Amino acid sequence: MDQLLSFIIFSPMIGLLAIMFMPKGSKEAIRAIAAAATFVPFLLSTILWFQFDSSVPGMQFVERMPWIDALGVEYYLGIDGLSVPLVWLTGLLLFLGTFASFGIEKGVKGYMMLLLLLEVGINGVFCSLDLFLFYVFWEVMLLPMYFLIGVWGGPRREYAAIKFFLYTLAGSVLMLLGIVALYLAASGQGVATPFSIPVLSELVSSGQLTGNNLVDQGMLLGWPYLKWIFVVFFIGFAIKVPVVPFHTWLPDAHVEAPTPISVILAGILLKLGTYGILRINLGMFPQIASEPAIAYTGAILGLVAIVYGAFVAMAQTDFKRMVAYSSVSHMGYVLLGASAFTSAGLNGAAMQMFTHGTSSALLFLIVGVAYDRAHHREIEGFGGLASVAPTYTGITTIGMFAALGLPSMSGFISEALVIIGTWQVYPLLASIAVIGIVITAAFILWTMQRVFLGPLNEKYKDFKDVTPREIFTMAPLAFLCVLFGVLPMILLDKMELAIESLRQLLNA
Amino acid sequence: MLDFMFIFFASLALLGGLLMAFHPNIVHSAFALVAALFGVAGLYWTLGADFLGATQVLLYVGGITVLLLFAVMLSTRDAARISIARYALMAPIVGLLGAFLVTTGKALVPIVRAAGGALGPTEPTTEKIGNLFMDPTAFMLPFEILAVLLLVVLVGAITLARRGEEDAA
Amino acid sequence: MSETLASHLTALKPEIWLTGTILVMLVLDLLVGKRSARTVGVFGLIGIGGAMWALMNQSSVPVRAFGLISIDTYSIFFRALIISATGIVMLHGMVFRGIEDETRAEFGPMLVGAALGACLLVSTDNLIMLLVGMELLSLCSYVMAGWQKKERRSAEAGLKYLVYGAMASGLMLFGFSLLYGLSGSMWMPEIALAVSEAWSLGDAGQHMIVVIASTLVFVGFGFKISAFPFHFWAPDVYEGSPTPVTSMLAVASKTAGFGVLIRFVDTVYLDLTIAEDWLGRFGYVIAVLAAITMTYGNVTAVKQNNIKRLLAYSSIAHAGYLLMGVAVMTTATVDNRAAVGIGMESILFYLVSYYIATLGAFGCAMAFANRFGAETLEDYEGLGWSSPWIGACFIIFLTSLVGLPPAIGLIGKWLLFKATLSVGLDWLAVIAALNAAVALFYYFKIARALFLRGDTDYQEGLASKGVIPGLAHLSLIVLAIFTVYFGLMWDGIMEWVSEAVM
Repeated sequence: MDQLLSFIIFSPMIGLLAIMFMPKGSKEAIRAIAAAATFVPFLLSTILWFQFDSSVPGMQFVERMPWIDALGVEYYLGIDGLSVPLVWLTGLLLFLGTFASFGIEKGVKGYMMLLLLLEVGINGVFCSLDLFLFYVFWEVMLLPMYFLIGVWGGPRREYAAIKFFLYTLAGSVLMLLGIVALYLAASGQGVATPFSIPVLSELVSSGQLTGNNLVDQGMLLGWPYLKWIFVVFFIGFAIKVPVVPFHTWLPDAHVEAPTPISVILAGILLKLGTYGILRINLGMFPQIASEPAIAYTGAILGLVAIVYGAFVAMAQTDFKRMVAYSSVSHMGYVLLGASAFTSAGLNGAAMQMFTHGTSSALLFLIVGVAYDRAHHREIEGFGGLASVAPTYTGITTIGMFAALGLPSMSGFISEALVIIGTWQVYPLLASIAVIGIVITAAFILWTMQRVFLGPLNEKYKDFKDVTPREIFTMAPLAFLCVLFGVLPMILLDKMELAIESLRQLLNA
Repeated sequence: MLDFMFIFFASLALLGGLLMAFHPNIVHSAFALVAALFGVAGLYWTLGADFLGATQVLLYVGGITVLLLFAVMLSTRDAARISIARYALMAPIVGLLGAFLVTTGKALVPIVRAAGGALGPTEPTTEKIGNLFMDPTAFMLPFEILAVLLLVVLVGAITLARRGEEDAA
Repeated sequence: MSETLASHLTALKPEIWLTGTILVMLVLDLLVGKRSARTVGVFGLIGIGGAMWALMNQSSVPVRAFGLISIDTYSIFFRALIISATGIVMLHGMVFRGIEDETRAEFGPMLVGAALGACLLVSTDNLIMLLVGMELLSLCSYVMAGWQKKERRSAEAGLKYLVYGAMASGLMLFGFSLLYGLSGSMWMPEIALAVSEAWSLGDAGQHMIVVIASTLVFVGFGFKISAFPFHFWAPDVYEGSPTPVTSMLAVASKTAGFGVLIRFVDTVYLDLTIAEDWLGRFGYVIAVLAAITMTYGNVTAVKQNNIKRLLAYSSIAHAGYLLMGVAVMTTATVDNRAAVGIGMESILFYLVSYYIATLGAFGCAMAFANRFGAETLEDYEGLGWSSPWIGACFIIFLTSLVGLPPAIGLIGKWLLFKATLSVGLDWLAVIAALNAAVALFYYFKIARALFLRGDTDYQEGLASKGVIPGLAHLSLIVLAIFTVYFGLMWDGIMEWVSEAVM
């Protein structure tokens, strides 16, 4: 299985082609093919998870061959401890997302094809070690997402889709700018593979690549050339995360997107931003990232996201919008932890990416269940559902508790690691971040109370409990929330070496 | 003598052109065009291009203008009357164009003189032109391509015109 | 003598194929009668295929034919684009509802005539031949633009194109005569010598002649490529002409215009002896025109509602991007001619990407017009659900025109930007990048109308069954596959382009 990564990335394409030639009417067959086509990469990524040797540092499953000789672009794949959990999470969420999409009746064929294309793009980004390839996969995700929100979304879908599209595109244009700038500097020095991430990291961190050949003294408008590149990459990724103040596309996109797409958006797409920050901003420019001013700015941005996201989430009356803002808050922990450069902070950040992927995905599925039955999402409009839908309430409780970071839940471990890691460097920021946890707990418990507890709203006395298909989509995620809360080492062991080498790079 | 010839033909061309553009009666305009084209043909002659001058008279004066006149006469009388006021705006543009031509001409003449260009009658050119058109290393290809051009344009013109009849019917 | 004639003719095999095709189509038209107009078209396609085959067999060793034509890799590149585009347009023209069947047979010779003119135009370095080629291309285009005579817009388009075109050729011809007066020659290399001599040794009057002659010549080329401020004809003509003709104008005619423009600039201005201060000014004007052209095209396109008109403005904008490459070329100096190659390479590559996506986009517009009579954005609402294949192809072409991966348009833009940055025209690259963002906005209006608006129900349209319509649809899908395939695997195209750069 030397080409395991290629198989993971491109196996959905087979399903896509198969669906392309299916007649439009045979919805059941199309759904079956889509489920099979997402199951294959899930299975392969599970194999990957177990075959990945967490005692070996550096990239594994490397595939490298020349792609475009004229520019030195390579088809260069590889994964380390940082990307393995995310690849597996992608496989899982897309597979569950396909099942969650069985309720969609309109344009099933197109929907499933776009979903599969999306998976190709996501896995490609996580596995690419060549910036050009990375960029191509990054953009491959853009169009499917635009259509998935724009066609199958809620009433204001058109607005949400174009907003998502423009924000993300602005980010990727900035990223492209950074890639071009790196390419010009590297190829000007005669580097044979001016897009390769490992080669560039090596050159940048050893101070051999400065842009001196392009601009005088390596300075551009008073800043080092590389610092500009760092900033454009950071903004590009920050839009995707999203970091306040670039977050406004997220609530709109989430509210309008159909449930499975919200799941994938919150569960994986947001992680692409933080993955980019860890892999490219920290991994490629450790000297710049560890400048005190830059690191502190990153931490402040993370903190603002945590607190602001939590406060705004509390003010929401729309269930889905609340979950969306809580995502903003939770992604803030990743940035905060990553900016501390301590072992605990970085581990917490990397783990938070995974745990938020499971808990937020679960929460969006939960919201989807309520919306399917009640056709609205007003938190105040429910009440006492616990008495009519006990299973539903049980799963929700797990999801909500994981999100608020209750001990024995996965969210607790990652958030605690982040706070501890930050405390060692920025005690003040860490103590403010705790406020965020308190507010999160407050609004989540309050929501629980308003929706599930109290007197039953008479309108919903026929509220059906979750169906087996829904349980099938939600139970694995709930299980993971508990599992990584009890046995976080399963995850942390995988990531350990990658995080440690990143930490050493940053503290060098 | 040459200078006199040049001034005569040039003014003929210029006045004819102006008259054609600004005369309210389109029939008179057509006749003014004949004068203008004659003037141009005369200019060719003074430059020693006898074949070109002759072709100009034969084709433009003899052929095209007559066709134009036919077209004018067959169309309605109302269309033949055009108000001069609509063309008043053209005057400054024509003036600018004239100034531009004078400037470039002034600069060009000394160069042509220095290059030994002929400003007087030299020898008959018809045979030379004919040879150049049939010489594979000279202008044979453009000559042949022009044949294709005429053929294609003829077909195109007929197609467009024929459907005009169908419309009327 | 006869031997040399034979060798001259051998070098022009593709052109002879095209000429033969014109004659065969005309005669066939008489023989088979009006009912089987498609037979004539099929023979046209075969003839174009023959021309393409002959072209592909031409050796890359430069040959001169008739003393006027140079058959080199550069001309092979451009003629390959022109002839293959003509083939696709011919195929689309055969199924276009709008050209009445009784005149369909005459349409072919016009189209092939235009292609013949365009082929000669990009292969010559002699001004006489250049003029004849351009006139052949133009006259055929005038006729084709006004082909749907019963449609008021089409007749207007033909007339408008004729009037503006005649004026542009007249001005260009006057520029040629000034150049001839300066050099005593019609051959570009000799003109180059005379121009540089006039600039370096001459007085103010001679300088003025060079400037005026260059300006006038640029009017002619600028008209063909629809660059600002010679673009006024384009929106009306593109909108009014039958759609296959529009795509011929937007692709083959514009490609030919760039082919001759680059050759002219390269041979006449970038000759080694050229005065640098003159070149600097000329290049500056081109760069400014490029910036205005793309901005004007993109900003105006945003307001358009008619798809063909929108694509027309977008095609103006793309002419602006391509002119960026010409501006890059002019930054070359006597000591460092690298910029010529870089600029030319980026233009040629961009032309390939523009060629595929524009032919495809107009093809899709034609398919929707054929089936649903759809012309405006409102008409397009929800149509993507009725023709998902064509709709998906349209999206791919638009993606390429915007310059998003994985389409080939991204690579074209990448190379152009890289070229512009590498010679220090940073401001131009910034303007172009901003333009790309504006372009995204209006291209996605089409995508939005196709899939996001309207109901998703199937709408009944005119079905088009048969081999030829099937082929026409297949050509769109093939173009869409090319768009993505060459967006990922563009090494081959890059090699071809670098070979074509003289």
